[in-house]
Amino acid sequence: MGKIDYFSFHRVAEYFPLLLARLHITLIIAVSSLIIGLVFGTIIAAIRLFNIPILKQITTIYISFIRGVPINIQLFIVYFGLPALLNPIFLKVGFDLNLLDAFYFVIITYAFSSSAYLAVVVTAAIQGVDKGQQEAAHSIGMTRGQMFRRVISPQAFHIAIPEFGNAVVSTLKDTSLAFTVGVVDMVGVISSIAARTRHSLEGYVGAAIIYFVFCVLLERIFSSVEKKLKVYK
Amino acid sequence: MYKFDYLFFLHELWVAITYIPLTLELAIVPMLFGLVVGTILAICRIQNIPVLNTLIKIYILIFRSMPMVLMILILYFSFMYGFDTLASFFHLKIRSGDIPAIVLAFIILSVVSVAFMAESIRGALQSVQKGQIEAAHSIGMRQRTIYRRIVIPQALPVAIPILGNTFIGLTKGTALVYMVGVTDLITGVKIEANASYRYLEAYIAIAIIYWLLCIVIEQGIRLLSHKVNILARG
Repeated sequence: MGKIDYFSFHRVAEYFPLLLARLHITLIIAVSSLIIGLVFGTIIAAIRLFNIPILKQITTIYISFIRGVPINIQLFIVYFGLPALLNPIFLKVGFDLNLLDAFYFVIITYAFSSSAYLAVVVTAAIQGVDKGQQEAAHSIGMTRGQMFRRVISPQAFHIAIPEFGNAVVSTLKDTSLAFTVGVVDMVGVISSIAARTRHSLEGYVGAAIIYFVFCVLLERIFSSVEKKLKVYK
Repeated sequence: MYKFDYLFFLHELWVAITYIPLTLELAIVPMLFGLVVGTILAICRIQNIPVLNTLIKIYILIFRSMPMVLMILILYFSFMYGFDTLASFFHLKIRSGDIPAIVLAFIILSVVSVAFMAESIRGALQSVQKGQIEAAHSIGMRQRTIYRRIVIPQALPVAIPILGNTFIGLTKGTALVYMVGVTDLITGVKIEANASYRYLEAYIAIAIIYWLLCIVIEQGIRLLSHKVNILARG
């Protein structure tokens, strides 16, 4: 048996442009699901902070579910479950959810998932603001809206930054699983490259390098923002 | 209209339950390995041993800044290729294909777990105030005694919730080992659904088992950390 060529850096370099050509799909998934997640997460946080009965219990179960179930399982549940649940309604308006691209299901799943994590971050941040601040704001006659806008949210924002950064990074990392439902993103494209060249390891290494750069970069950005904000404290 | 098949769902739930021991094994073995090796690495980092410290730092940075799937796949292929190269170098008949997938899964998850554990343990150990260690030094305690009697008892209450979270992460990480060919909870439950295409029922059953496992682990950690806190207060 001759020597088999298992790994070459040459191939990593060769694959790199092919992976980068798919990077935008990964980024679109991450960014759009984070934006939707932040909106929903804030709503969930409001429900929890205002202690709305029944709804609060539902959010507790929701958050526990999202935190307890691996993201790839959530992905498949949404992928199979959403059409099963909503197709009767959508078919009436002439739209078949089964024909919807997997890409959208991935965004929906990650939006669900990040909303739970971000809800926890937002809740903790707002609760982290000293009670005395609220009382002080009340005592000088601020309305609730003013108090939230001018006293609580700036401080809560500051508290939330490190955890928010973690949530962003972990959502970005989770996008690496989108290929399991057939999205041809940066990771998904590797299998089609490998079908041609019969070498997949280099593809995974390339994708890992790209993820690595993004994660480290994001962490740096968030920690520098955190430091900047400390100056104002 | 999709008809949810409750009977099939219950069947899948039962199949999933039979895979709980395997899932726990896949989480606990790497965790214990990570706990031991991670502690050693954490102490190396705190003691600031040259070269080694940098190497460990790089190792941890790489593993913490990459998606777990990619780590698993890269480790899998590297291990397989590395093993084959070594085996043919020594003219051995054994090939990577002969290694049971579960062994590979244990090895891969352990390598991943060490990186996460090392960082958690370091955080916990460093939460102990410097003054405590200096005080222990000043009364002539040796390094090992300091760790045993001063650092670890104080670090433990801090460590347990952090390690618990890492353990939950590892448990959820076991949902990826099917990629290296292990017949785990996911594969086992999915096989049953192949004939009827009732994947939704299968995945909901899988999700419920993982959810339950995580809740139980979380409660266990809460109990443990409560107990340790009482002990730590003396």
